[in-house]
Amino acid sequence: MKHPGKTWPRRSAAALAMLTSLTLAGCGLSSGGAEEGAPVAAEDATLRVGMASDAQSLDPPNFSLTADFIRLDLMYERLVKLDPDGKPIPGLATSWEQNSDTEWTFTIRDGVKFVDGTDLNAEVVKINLERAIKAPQGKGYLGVIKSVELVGDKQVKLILSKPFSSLLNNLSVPVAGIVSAKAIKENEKNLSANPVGSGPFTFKSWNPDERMVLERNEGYWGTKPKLKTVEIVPIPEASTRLAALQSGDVDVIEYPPPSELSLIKESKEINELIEPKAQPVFLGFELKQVPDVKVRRAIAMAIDKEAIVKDVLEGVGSPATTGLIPPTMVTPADDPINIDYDLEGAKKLMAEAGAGDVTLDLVLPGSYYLKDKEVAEVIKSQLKEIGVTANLKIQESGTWFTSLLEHKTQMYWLGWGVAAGDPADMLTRVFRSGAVNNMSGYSGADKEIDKLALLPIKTPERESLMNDIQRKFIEEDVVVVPMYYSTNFYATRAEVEGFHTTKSSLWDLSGVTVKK
Amino acid sequence: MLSYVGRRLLQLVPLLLVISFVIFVALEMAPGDPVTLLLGQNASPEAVAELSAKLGLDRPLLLQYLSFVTDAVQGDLGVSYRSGREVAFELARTTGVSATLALTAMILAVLIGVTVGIVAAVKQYTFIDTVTRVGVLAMVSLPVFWLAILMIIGFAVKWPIFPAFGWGTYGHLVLPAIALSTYPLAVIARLTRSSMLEVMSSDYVRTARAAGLPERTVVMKYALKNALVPVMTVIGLQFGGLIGGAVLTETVFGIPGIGRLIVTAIEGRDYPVVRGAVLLGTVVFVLINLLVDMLYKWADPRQRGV
Amino acid sequence: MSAAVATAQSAQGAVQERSAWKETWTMFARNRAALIGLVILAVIILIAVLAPWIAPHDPTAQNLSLRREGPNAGAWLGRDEFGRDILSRIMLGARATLLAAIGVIVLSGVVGTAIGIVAGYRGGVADSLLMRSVDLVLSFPYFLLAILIVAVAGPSLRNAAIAVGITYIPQYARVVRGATMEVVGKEYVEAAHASGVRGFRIAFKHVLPNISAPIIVITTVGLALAIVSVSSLSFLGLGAQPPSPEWGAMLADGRQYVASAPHISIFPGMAILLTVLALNLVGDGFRDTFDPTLR
Repeated sequence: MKHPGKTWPRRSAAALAMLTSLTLAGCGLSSGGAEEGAPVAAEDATLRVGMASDAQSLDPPNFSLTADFIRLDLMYERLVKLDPDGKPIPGLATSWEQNSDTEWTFTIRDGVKFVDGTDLNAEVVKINLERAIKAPQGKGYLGVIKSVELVGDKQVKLILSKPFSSLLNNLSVPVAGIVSAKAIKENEKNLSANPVGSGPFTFKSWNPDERMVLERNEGYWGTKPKLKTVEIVPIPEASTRLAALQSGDVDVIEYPPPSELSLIKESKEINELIEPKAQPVFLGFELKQVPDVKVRRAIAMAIDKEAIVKDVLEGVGSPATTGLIPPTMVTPADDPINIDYDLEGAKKLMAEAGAGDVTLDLVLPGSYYLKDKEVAEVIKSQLKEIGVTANLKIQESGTWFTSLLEHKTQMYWLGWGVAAGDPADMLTRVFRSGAVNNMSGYSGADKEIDKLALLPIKTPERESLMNDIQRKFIEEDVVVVPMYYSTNFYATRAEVEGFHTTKSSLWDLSGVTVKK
Repeated sequence: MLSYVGRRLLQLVPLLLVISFVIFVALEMAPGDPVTLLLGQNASPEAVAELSAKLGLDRPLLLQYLSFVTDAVQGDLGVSYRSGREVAFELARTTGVSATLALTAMILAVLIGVTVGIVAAVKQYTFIDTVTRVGVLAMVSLPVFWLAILMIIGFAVKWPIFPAFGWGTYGHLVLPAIALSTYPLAVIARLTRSSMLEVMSSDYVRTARAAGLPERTVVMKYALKNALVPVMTVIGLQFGGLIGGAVLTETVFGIPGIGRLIVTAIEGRDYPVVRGAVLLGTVVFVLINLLVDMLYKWADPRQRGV
Repeated sequence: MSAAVATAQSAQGAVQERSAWKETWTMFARNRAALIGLVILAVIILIAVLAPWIAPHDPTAQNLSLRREGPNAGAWLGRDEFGRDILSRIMLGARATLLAAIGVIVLSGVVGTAIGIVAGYRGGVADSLLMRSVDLVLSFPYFLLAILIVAVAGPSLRNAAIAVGITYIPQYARVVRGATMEVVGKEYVEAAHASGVRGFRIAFKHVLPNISAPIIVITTVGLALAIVSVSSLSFLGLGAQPPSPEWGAMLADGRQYVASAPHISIFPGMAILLTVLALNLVGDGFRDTFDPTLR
């Protein structure tokens, strides 16, 4: 059994050594390994981050999940990057040109080396994109690319199977990360555990469920990060994660328990970090199972989003009162897209609908989105006021998602991460009839949605069309009730400076320092 | 003895066949599907069909089972759907960790449990007996995850003596091992007490006492060895339980053990990992109990002829 | 032996049984710890039965503005993350918790005892077949088995209880089988057999009452274990589903507030501790009482 992981025999040996000298355990109580010793200069520091889960796969287009994107992003670059406003800016491509609705040409950056010493060129990009459009995850974002042609040594031409204006956005997703062609050719299977990229950090080691270590890429073409090392440790239990931060075992954690925010605020040692994220969370209806629009509207009117965000999420997130798309992504319509909280109106509407007492299943995952179970409990109690009994069906995340895809729901709970930064992608995938993720079975805005792919991104025309579409499925047809816009939520130790996140939930480590 | 061991090992074969089949059927019946989970937002019907075919999940269940058995017999447990790593690697990396943790916890449990049991038995119905018994019972009465969280807050945050989570140094071992040891400790302490009481009222101990041997010698030399025989059986059973049952401890302390591996694999419907881990768990469990039975025979002369 | 003699014998047996119980009780009552355990248990059961009438508040009524409020005059044990009264939830939760534990024991007890009696009474092929299947369950790490069962059946308190129940079957089966084999050789069973009483009637009328001591012992201890096991499944989100109160789920949900609002998890934790402790004390008492070698 040969395996790339290669560290395990050493670790079993270490385990054995541990056993044989167990009697010494009492005096071997060091609190950690390498980080102790002489104080380190801020620039060469190590950043230790506690995450809720470990990475799954580090091969960009294959089985990487959204949770893997953060790690991938540190090690792999894409042709295109997004700036803080979500505008595409040059990454590994220095410029691009749209030749027609279905043809784009990209000029590849000079002087970029992969960590294995090979050079980036157009051929490498071609190999990567051709691989990605056939890979399980890659296909979802880049499947629209029909073929890739070389134009000289420095340019590639992408030919699409249909017009697709948010191609640049999809090329910016970590799934489209460019891998060393040599590594693909020589050891493709190895990539899931042993990435070879050109990003600001390079892969050092990964003991699954224990620790992943990345180091600064000294040959990085861009501005090198100040950090020397990044250690990512999975700590699934939220209270342990916070304890590890408090005790100084880690420097940054994601998702501290929101209820402990007040403690964090009081503490001088720990800071909170709440930054916008491109992910609305919503309550959806399966339209065939809940056919009466009056009932759906009454439910929307009976839910007090403000109270939920304030009292359950403790302010981590903001109430979704301007449509499903977060206002940070699209300029909101002048007349806010929302069904306002109105308990009396909701009761009246229920009486009008003549539905009597209604019982509906609400299918949700347990601890997948922030405090999802608790939010659902509050929704249940709010709906009770208008005679709607919500039957909470909390399922394992796997079962839950399958139930949604198979339309085995009446009401469902879902958050949609807009990883590519273009909300049109969400509208197409979740509200276009025939789309796999159209969990509601909605078909009332197909024509408008199809038009989005033709309009250039970031134009007022396209944004106002998106608002029209939203208004339709939120206010007119009440397909979903937008609940809140989620945020990136971290807590950092006071020694850490400059830690920030992007709307696509990635990290910006370029300016991070750790004082020790 | 050798033929006995051989027979027991031979019995493993049908056991593993039955268990792996049960797992196959159970996973097939479980809601949720690995391919949909792997693809997430990108689970279009074509993508699902294509990946199912690639993973061999489109074949009839019996065929999948047969090819699994054929591969397993040749030592190939397959590849994790999610990480792409070999199942054998996943098991190797986690088993060492879990075994270290379980062994440490068991040593703690035996040392303290047996001591407490002896003291309680010798001082039966005294204050010491009552206190130790109630204390031991209180330990079993706390769900282990709760105890673990309290210990982290106490000994990693409030008094930062041990690391709050993780794996790698002796310090990392202390809190989880204590948490994990509570249940077997209580079981062992109780059993030692009752077993000691039984032995101490037996004829040969009375004879030894009548012969004027000091009480300490009677207890330590004559009573203890015999009293520990049933305790050993329990140690075997508990040890097997510790390896798989450490899920909660591993989750709270963020330890990369086999329990967490299995739970994550069940959640992610990573069938090859679940199968491999359950089979390994079964083998370990059976082997440990075989070992205990052999010790039992060795320690109890009456059993030797059997 | 004539039928008249058999009747006379069983009547005599009943008298003996009654005085045996009395003696057992005297013996049990001498164990002060066990007696205390019994009293605690009685109080908890009483609370569980009367909960809907004596609970000071509606256990599911939310009041978000009072969330995580500490113990005070209005809510003696404080309020949880939804502002619900913790005392009322513990009272009502006693029902769910105890019922789940009883469910575990009924399932494993009935199935395990049946298997044990048949295996011990019949012997031969039935015995080895039944005990092999029991060993099959036993050779599986029990907590993983429970997780697997709940994953297949879907998370709920009922399924958690069933899952834990299945893992406890082997224990009953083994103990009962051993006890049955011991009893089967005794005269009164042989006598009943000779007078033409059919197999299962013997099993239930004659064997079962005579193996009740070990069953009672493993039942009390089993109840205690069941409470802890079910609450552990709740920790993984595989147990009771909201909003119905259950101790394990309350403890598991409250753990995220342990630093800022410890009362949310401490009180349900204490409820579990107290109940399990009481059950164990009673179980130990029974064990000491029934096992003459320990006196």
